[in-house]
Amino acid sequence: MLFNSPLFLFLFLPSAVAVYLLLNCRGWFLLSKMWVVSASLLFYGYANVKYLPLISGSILFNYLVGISIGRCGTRNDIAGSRRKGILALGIVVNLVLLGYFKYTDFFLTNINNILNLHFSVLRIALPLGISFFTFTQVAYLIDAYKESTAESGFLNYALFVSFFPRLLAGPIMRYKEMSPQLGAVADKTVNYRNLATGIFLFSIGLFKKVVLARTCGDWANNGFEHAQVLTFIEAWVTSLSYSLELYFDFSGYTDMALGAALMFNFKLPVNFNSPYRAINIQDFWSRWHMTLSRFLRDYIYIPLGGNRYGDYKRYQSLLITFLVCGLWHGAGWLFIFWGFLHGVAMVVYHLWRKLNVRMNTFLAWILTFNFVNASWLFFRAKDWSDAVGVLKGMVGINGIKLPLSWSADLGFLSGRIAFTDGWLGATQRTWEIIFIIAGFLLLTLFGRNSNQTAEHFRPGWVAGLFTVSLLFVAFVCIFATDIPSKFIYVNF
Amino acid sequence: MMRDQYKNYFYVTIFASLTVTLLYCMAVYRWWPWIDTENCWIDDCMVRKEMLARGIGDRPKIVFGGGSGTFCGVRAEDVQKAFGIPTVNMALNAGLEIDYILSRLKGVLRKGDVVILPLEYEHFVYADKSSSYKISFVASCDREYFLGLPWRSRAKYVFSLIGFNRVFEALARKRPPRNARGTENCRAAFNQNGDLTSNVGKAAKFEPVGPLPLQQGGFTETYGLASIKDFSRWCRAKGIRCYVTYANSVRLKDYGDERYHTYFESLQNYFIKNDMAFIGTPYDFFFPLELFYDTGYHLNKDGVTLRTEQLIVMMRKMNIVPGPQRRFH
Repeated sequence: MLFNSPLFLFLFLPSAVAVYLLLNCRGWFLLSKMWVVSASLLFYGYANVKYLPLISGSILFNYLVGISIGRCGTRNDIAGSRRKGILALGIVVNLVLLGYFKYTDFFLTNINNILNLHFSVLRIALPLGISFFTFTQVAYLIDAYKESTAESGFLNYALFVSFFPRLLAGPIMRYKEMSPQLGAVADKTVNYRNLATGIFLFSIGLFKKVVLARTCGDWANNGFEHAQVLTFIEAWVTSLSYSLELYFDFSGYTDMALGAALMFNFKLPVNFNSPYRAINIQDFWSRWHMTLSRFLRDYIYIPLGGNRYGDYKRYQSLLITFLVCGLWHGAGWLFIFWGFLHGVAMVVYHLWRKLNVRMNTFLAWILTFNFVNASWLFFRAKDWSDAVGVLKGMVGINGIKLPLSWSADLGFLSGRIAFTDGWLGATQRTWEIIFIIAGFLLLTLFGRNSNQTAEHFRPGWVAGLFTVSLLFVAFVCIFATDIPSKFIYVNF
Repeated sequence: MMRDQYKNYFYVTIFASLTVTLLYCMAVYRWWPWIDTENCWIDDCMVRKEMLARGIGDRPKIVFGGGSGTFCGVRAEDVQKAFGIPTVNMALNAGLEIDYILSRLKGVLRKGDVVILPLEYEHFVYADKSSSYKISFVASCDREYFLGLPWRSRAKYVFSLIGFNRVFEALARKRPPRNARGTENCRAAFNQNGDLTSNVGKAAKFEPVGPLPLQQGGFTETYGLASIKDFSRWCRAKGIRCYVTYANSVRLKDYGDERYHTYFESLQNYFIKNDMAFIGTPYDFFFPLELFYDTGYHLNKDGVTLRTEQLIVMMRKMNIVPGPQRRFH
């Protein structure tokens, strides 16, 4: 079930929230938790019921591992070794599960290519959100090991992992962020402030997804379909459209997740903070998918040594961390290369910092944004040639031709510059598209982001009109579409 | 105090957003005939053809139905001369899809009539997914049909019209309530039997066609076939004889392929199984490219003459003339 489907919006979410709050009002807290867990499993199983046993089994297994770690205690070395062993087992099982579903085909394909073998590819369908719930639970096990914070109640743990607003695409949460909220009785009553702020944030996210991301996505898809022949302007329109689509899609999802969770009186961690305003790559990663960055820092970069063993080791750790980041996003060389690019950028940034030369802020932003924008091409493209094709267009290798629809207005340039009827040139809306992209970009750079907007939220006519307008436009777009478009990150 | 503000905001926002959306949908539902009248000339032409058919009165008649392939493929006038029975070509536009075309045909058929359906392959493989063209047409030009649809279909139709792009584009066209010029052109284009008269020689622009679309995943009963089957049963119940046949199409090498043989055979078996009378095989109605006018379905004048002669021979062989109902194969 998708957040932008009518079923979710008009039946599932309202009934899930209403029944939860009703049960809490009656003081049936245990029942209300069971209700949310059941609703979450229904939400998960709706798309494909055959993966319900997988997620249920995964939750049960990790809960038992967590309990076992907690019970070992830290009395002596033997207990410590046993804890470590159980933790290692837990992590390995989780990674094997993730590896089987996500990386088996990738591995077999590469083995076939390298060794000229003919293993048949298994074509395993990826269970939705497996990367997210696996990472969430790995983090839980490590925290249980380090901080002895294993949950003793199965229902609380199941709710933590399966809570539907964040089940498919995060934010990736640590158990200690959720556990105080699970117990607080005050958080269980009807809180109109949370309901109002939740719907406000949810409407922003929904609008981002069904209006902004969809609009940009159509242009990006169009561009990537003609990746090999894009001219200068078309290539820039394509790449910027995709950068904006990805941001609106994922941050829209996160806003909806935060908003929906708030209606249940749960506060989820913020995942985005205007990432395209970043003035260096480290700044970017502290603003983009912040909970993944935190996970990678705490559970990969720091255990690898972080910055504790000198510069060389730090660079090595950075590269490995970002390679893992790339691989986490998808089983493909393009994702790995995207991760590698970001790893290298991180290393370059740290080397630059050592020079103690201060770069002009605008120049720093230009460099960072363009790097991020160009690297997304490898994230999006079906194959290398598509990514390189768009890149070639962006640097003008395919020629700096203008859209044919401009030839009437810019006739004085004919002879000096060519006009072409590529995918952008064929439309009469070229200027419109360029202005809209510029507008969206300015919005992401200078506008308040959704979390800042939610922080300043005060109920009143202005906020009411704003929310109603967003919801109205979003609802119309949803009803006018046969099949709701998928969220990009749900596939990871 | 503040709690009340949040509470009011929460309920008012939900109520207002749903109400505004509902009002907008209702406005589109109510005013679509004023928003988009782009293709209402087709309805005017259909009404004109219906008047021709009704003008025959209670005498038995032969009626041809279908899309533009029949409109530009069969000459009812020649059939009328050959059998001495009033004949009308009711076909016009395949884009209106088979369920709508057949429902419209029902209005002119009477007991003792013969209805012949030379159908395009798109009609056979049609799944129940109305095109935006048809939806817009029905919602603005044939309200009676639209309002007679089950509420779920009507809601589906309205939802497919409410997209902002669609509404703004239609409004930007600023069409008058009925496109009078298109209507006049259409009326001038057909004779007293409803036959097209302007398809002489070859049009300046010819739209080539590829091989006919085949059903994905093997032969099954599509929504289009089920609609034809239901229509055939309705005809039988009303004492009308219904014959399905195939549209004229360009002869292509691909039709020698096994997959086409198999599909055509399955189609034929389907008709036999469901007790539906049919005329000829698809291979009888493939013609060389030079006989086509502007698309791979539209014959020129010579092509129509040839195709109609061929059809008349087949009709004679099968003894198809209006009269008491018999069983045919």
